[in-house]
Amino acid sequence: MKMLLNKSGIHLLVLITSLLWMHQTLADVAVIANKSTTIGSIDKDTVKSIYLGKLKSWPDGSSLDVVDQSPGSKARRLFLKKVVRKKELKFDSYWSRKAFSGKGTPPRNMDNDADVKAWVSKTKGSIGFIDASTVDDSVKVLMLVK
Amino acid sequence: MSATKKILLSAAISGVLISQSASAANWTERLTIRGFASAVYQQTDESVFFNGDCDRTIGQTDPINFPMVADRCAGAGDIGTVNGVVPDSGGINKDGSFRRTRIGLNINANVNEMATVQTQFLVLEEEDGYKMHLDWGFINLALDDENTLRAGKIKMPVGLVNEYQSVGFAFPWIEAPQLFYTQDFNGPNVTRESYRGLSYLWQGYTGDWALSSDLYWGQIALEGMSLNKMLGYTFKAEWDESVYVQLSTYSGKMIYEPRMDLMFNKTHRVKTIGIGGDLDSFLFYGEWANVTMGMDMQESTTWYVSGGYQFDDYTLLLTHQNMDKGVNVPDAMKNAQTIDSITLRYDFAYNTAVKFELSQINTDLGYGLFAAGTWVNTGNGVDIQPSDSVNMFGMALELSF
Repeated sequence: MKMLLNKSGIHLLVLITSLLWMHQTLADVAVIANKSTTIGSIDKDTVKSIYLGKLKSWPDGSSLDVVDQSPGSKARRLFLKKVVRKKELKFDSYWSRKAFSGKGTPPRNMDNDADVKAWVSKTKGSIGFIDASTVDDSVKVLMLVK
Repeated sequence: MSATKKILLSAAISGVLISQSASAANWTERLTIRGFASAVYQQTDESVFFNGDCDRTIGQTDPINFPMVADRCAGAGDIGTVNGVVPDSGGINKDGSFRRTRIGLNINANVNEMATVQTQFLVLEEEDGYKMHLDWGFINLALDDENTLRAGKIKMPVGLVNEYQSVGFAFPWIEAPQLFYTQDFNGPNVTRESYRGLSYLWQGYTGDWALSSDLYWGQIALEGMSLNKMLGYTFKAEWDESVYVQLSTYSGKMIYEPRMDLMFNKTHRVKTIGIGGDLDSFLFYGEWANVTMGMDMQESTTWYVSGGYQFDDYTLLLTHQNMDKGVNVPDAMKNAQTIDSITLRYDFAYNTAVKFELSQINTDLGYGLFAAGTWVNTGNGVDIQPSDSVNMFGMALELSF
């Protein structure tokens, strides 16, 4: 205990805490929308319903344009785990079944955070998710997911 | 390809193209293209074809009017061939078969906020090589978020996996349980690939529940017969995208060309119930169906249960299928068959899986899905009899893209 409280120990503790904090920050995902969207925030269940195709319009009745990211991205894995509460394989299987039976169209797929942000910033009614560290004022943040 | 098929295909392609021509500038934003591919190999240790396109009944009773059917089926048992080649479309036998190999392309176009054109094209093997046909294609009119009208060639919503039965990647088996889903006339005739007609689809959500109700009307056109004035209803309830229950029923009038008196204009009626689920790592499916076709010999009850477990990228599944066909008739006119299978699926890369399956087909009465019987077109009335117990091996490579 004494050792931990000396100068080096405190530095080490600060360093580890900072790294953990940075890791946590980098792992945050922001759910974003076009700036014209009238709502200011959104809850996880609503976002889940949107990404499973159960909600097809915004609360004001305007059309939704849903954007997904390419498989394997860190943001997508975290988003599906924390918000949709599904593994990537199960989420993709769900949409395979719907799409190939003609009962739904999966979210639009974009390659990376920059593409999602660019699309959402220019497309009215759109919603997407990106790494929180890449958010800027071109889009509206509806929810932060840790 | 029949004239009707050509018209449907043309209409679907035109629909997609017309919807794009209105605004070519943003066509990439309004068009969705997806696809799938299945490379399938299956083999039994029996020479008699299993689950093929042969129609034993028609071939036996009317080889004059159906010489092609009779010849095709004569490939079974090594006693006859078409131009010296045993046709792969005859089914699966000891020579092995790639006949379930297929490629599909799903093209959807948003015309406007209300209307979409949805199509799926399928390339698969027919008697004279690989052919493309319209798997399904329809106009979708979303009346609101919950109510939709559909018109065109639509997948039959009968059976838990029937609407995506062409897409091997979307289910765990090599092919959907044969004794339930087969299109072979010798099977229970539970479901068909698609129908032409109208559908009123309601899809609603409450809490963790997703409910859907599909009322449809139309016609099923098959080679040599059709099911006219068909009316059907399917209800499905799904909890948390994990457990689902489906109830289906439909009926229609069977019309044969040329007319076969025994079943002409008789009612084909089907009832099914199914439950399926994917809870954490446990997978399960179970379905039951009863079919009446106006003749005791054709009445059938079929069911299957399937359960498995997912270990990371591996899924191991056990399946038991059962079909009983024929009631109030002598045993000689009945068909009773079971299939027990073990399937291993390995998802080794994104949207890519390989499957291996071992099955044992046991025939208690009749021939089940085997193309067996006494073949009149051989001239000598040769009997083709499969073994009571036949082993089948299958492997498949599945992709979704």
